[in-house]
Amino acid sequence: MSEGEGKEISTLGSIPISLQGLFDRDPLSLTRPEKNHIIEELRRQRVQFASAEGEARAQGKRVNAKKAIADPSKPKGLSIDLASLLKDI
Amino acid sequence: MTEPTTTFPLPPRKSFLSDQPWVQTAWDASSLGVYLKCPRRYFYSIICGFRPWGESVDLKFGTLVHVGMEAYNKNFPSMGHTEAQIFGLSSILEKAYTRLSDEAKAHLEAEGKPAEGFYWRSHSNNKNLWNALRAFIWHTEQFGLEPDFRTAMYEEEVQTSAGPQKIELPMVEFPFQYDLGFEFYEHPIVFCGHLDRVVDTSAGRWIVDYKTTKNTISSHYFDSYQPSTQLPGYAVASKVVFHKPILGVVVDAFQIGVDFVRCGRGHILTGEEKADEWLDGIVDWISQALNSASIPHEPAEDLAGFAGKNARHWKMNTESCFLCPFKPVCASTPSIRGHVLQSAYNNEFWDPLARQEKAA
Repeated sequence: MSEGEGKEISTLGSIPISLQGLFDRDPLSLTRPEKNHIIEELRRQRVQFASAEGEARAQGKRVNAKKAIADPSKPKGLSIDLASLLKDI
Repeated sequence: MTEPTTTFPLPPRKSFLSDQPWVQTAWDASSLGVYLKCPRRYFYSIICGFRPWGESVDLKFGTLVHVGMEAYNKNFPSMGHTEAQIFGLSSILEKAYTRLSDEAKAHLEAEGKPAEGFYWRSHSNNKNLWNALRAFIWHTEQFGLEPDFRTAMYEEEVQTSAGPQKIELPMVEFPFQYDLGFEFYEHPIVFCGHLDRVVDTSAGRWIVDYKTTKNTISSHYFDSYQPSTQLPGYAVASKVVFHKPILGVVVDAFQIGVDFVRCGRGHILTGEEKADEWLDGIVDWISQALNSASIPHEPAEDLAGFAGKNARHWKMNTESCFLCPFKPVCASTPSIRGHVLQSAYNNEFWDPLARQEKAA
């Protein structure tokens, strides 16, 4: 089966909540600080992932990527969908 | 009684003869790769332009990463690292965004619905927009600032108000084309393509090729490119077009996970002997394809009819059917294959020379 076949999902990917609003807009309307914000978030995720992967390797374990790059703006204990819902209320 | 048709339902293409539109005179690694898998698959997909319905996630994702890397490599180091990343990020977002036509907007507004454009939504947890941005940023963070790995430059003359002036341009998405040294009824056969990036290091010149994969990047992964249909062609291009040999091809690989990207770099040496052997091989394979093309093809009113009547000139390689998009066609009875093609496939015509002109 090729990638994605038979799945019902349709996604932009796991965009952090703090940035999701930017992806509702035309890219031409994004300001330089907003684009910088996206780059900084991706840099932060990379550093966190590299650090978690290093630690996991030292312990002979596999890294949990989702946990490693966890979005700090996501309220603890809530799923992304519920958090988005509460944000919109 | 209506006259039988004498026309061919194939569109005019720069890489194909106009009077025999199934004869390809400009070949690239993609069309050759399809032919090597199976001549029948080449006939259906490259000559007749059949594609399965639906979008290719791999192709879309690869394109997004490529446009980001292209924008970065064209602007760094003449601009700063972050500035070049902003260019790359903007290019990816622009490429992934669809704006609505005025007509569509008016229609949606009349229905009281939001009339906004939208970003590409993928059916893959790995290959989607956010991961394309992640692949681009993580790669340029890891490799962008390497001091001994600079994009090569070339000089081009441009007309200015003060007269012609020479400017230096980066060798990024650099098109090439060379004569393969044989002809099809006086039409020279050429090989063409693009180099993702040409770099100079203290050891010599390399050509960089970007690859995205879901596989783990290891020595096994890079070994899969030796031998290769694509990479030795770059060594020949370098020799013929730049008159300068290369050390080899750097494969810059992106392993795309759901929540991470791993970037790796492999060096594939493409010496002159290997390049010559590759050239001999592709000349033989393309000659074989042109032998099939030299058989007069029957005209038809539509593509499905043309495919149905002429597929027999292109042999099936039944050892290559696993994961082939045309398996359902070849598995059906020959007399109904035209109907299967018409109902389950749409058309998108491959034209390597037109692609080069568009990129230029």
